[in-house]
Amino acid sequence: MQWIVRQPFFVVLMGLGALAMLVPSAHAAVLGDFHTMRVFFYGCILFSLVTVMVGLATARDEHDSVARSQLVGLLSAFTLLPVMFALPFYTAVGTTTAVNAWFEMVSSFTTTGATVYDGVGRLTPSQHLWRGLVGWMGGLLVWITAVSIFAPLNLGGFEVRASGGVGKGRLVGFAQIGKVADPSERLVRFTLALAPVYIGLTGILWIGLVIAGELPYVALIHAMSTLSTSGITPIGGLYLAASGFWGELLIFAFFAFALSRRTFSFGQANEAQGPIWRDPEFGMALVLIATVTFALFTLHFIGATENTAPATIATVADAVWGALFTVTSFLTTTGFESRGWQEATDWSGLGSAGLFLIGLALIGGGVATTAGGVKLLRIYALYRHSEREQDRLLYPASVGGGGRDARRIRRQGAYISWIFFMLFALSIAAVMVLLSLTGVQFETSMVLAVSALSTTGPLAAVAAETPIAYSGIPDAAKVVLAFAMVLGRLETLAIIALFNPEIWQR
Amino acid sequence: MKVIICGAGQVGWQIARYLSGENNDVTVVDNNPDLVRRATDTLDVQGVAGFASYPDVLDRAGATDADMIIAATYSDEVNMVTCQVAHSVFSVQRKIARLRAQNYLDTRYSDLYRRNHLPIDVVISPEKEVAEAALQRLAAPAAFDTESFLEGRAQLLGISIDEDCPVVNTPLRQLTDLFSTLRAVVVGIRRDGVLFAPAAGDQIFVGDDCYVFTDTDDMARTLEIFGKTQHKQERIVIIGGGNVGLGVALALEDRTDRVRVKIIEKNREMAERAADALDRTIVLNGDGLDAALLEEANIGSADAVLAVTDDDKTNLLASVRAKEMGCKMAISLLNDPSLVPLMGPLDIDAYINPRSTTVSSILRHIRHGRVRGVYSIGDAEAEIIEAQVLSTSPISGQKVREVDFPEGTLIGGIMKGGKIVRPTGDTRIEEGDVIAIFAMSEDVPEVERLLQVSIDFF
Repeated sequence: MQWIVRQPFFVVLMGLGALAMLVPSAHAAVLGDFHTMRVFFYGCILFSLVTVMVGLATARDEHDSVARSQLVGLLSAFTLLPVMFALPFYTAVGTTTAVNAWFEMVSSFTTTGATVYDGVGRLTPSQHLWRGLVGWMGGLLVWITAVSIFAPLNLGGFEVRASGGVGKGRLVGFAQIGKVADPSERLVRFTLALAPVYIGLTGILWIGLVIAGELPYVALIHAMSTLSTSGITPIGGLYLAASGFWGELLIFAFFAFALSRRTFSFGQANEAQGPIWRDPEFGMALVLIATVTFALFTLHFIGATENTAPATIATVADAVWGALFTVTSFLTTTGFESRGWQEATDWSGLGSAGLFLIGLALIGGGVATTAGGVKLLRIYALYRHSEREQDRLLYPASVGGGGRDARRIRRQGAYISWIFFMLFALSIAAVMVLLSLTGVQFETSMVLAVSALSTTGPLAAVAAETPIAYSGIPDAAKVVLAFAMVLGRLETLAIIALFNPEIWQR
Repeated sequence: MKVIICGAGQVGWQIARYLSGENNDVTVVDNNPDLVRRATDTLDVQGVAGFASYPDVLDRAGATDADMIIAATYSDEVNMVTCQVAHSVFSVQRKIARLRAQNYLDTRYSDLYRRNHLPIDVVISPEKEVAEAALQRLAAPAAFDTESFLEGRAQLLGISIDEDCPVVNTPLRQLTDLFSTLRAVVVGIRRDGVLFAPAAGDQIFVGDDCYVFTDTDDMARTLEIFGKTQHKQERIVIIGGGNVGLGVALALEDRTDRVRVKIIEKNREMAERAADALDRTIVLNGDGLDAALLEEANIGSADAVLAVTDDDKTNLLASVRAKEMGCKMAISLLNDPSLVPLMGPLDIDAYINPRSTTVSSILRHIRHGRVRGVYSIGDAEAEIIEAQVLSTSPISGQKVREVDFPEGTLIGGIMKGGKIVRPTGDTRIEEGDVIAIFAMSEDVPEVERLLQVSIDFF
């Protein structure tokens, strides 16, 4: 094991990516899709060789700053690895352009799940499996790196609670800590801790979906995209799935893992203890989900609806479930649409209920989960801060309670959250401007920008008044979107932290 | 009796002063030599400078033949270890420790202080007791002094008599006939600064301070008879967010009736600590004497202000300012009993003396017999002693009028089998009764003798 640890982070990821190509290859062999099988098998051999060569070339590469090398490694993983993933995919599909294949892989790996192949028959099952698998590996990478790379650097949402500076480590000057765990050691430790959980949860959901009546391979992809919140589906939408309501219910239960890392971390990072429903992120998510679902439901009674069809109990239940599932799905930035969603929008009498979804996707799921967006913890910090400011309007001299952590979240946490929020808003504006330059319409570019930055690919098809097809936008726009996805996945602060002089100092 | 007192702080000092005044052999231990020297200079005590929990320091203080050790340093842990050392090394019989942290006082873990674990016979926490005293004052806003006795079934009320009082200039004997069902006894009157136990023929005059011992159920009626009306306290401002202020606020938050409490604390860290511990209470950070801050706390419509900072003068001034800004009632914490006469001219309604509350709780473990509670009145001028009557006591089985009580002594109440009985001359004191006796300081030893095992027993 030790020699693997000593390799640069990027090389390890590359090796794993190359080995993963065996999965679609084997799947294709079973299905008799020999063209795909050969392409992915050769891909595996080719990139294994490349990995070995790169590994040999960088074997003696000593880094002054391991943190920097891992941040850079992560950045390159999200930009360069998709090229490697795309090559066999591009060859196997045959009827696509290189840009499309690369865009597809970036979108999968960043767990966005935006697809240019919207025709159901465009890809063979094994190629769909590859998309799902790449997204799933991206999700696992986020789970692990969030704890092992971002947490010690106070990035990726950990800065809200952190006592040290953003982009810097903590625990300086404690003499009794003779040795601080090397980031690569942390990577190994957290990989060993989290990977079995991730794989196990996927397995459970897969089996559950199969029991609910789903085709095994569709069930596997849906299970993988639920866990990784990529929202990749091989059948053109979850609402077409054979598992029906019970399948949706199962998937709904597994959304919890994207709402707070407390659901799977079991106290690995030093978070506040206590029951899960006291967790600020989880509580925030529950309130948001309940509020939006309730709003969509009650709008029916407020607005003058033209829809005068008699509301039976069945349609009401369908509407509520559709709203509940879809709202949760977009809050976790997965982007699955319930089969009841159409009923829900009809019920609310709101033509543009998709706007709710844009807002939810912007908010995003929990810190250090596979979800994207601004993250619930930051929203929570801002909420607490505003609540406190209101108190101070009444009693300017009052002192807020809740403990040292709560106070830190309200002050420094809210401050850094606000910075992040503004950076996020600026990123949306910048991406929109760039998209407009490539000739995309204003509204379309807004939806696309949000969907890319919040890593919620399916948003484009649901949120806008008329569904936006990724296949219809120019290549330049796809490149912009691909980089926006990487930006949304890694978070602006992490990329800014790369320019932190302390990281570059020798 | 030989007593070692560890820690010459507020509490330790007062206990040392009290005990040395009662002809006990007192040794004070503190790690501040200046403080020890001052204690030996001012009080009739011996002093040892050193760290209280070190065995050699305790040895120098004479722990080998000490009867009791009182650990009242500022650190809970030092107090615990001191008791352990005193027990294990020197076999000191009685060990009293002052423990502040609520975490140590949780009843779930009270097993901890058993003899073979952490041998502490009595845990005292002065802040908690002062907080309780403050709550009692709030409960009876019309009285300037209150203390509960006989398992909370009886109350001692200090009432100042003004012109509205309907029973002015009436002999006490007539009062007894007038209100025959009222279970209340006037046990002490302070007239022109002098406290005395009234006789049946004495009258109450305007300007007197009366100490009335009453059944808790009759409390409201008693206050009414003495011309006081009870108001519900809904808005309370506490100045000082230390252990006392925080304790009061916590207790008020626990109450079922919604009391709106605001705390003003000057020290930012203390204010944050209070804010963390409290839920509904609003904590304000700033000077309690600042008119703008008091305005922010809406002192004008407050029912009561409770000044419990550690500085007497701040408490007095803050109370005066609060009253001047429209607060209905002011209660002030006073460590220095010589400031008590200022209460009238400053229009402060009540005061809490942490010394008397703490010293009471310690005294009850020094006294002989089955003494359950001791409350010291005024500047240690008198005491209310609550004790169980033993079969061997000379008063057991006798009628009240037959007992040879000293002059300055009155029976406040007798509890027979869980019921409060108003004492008359014909009431027979039986074994197992709990009796509350008001006694002037000079008569305390005689009362103690009456409660003790009689010589005839041997």
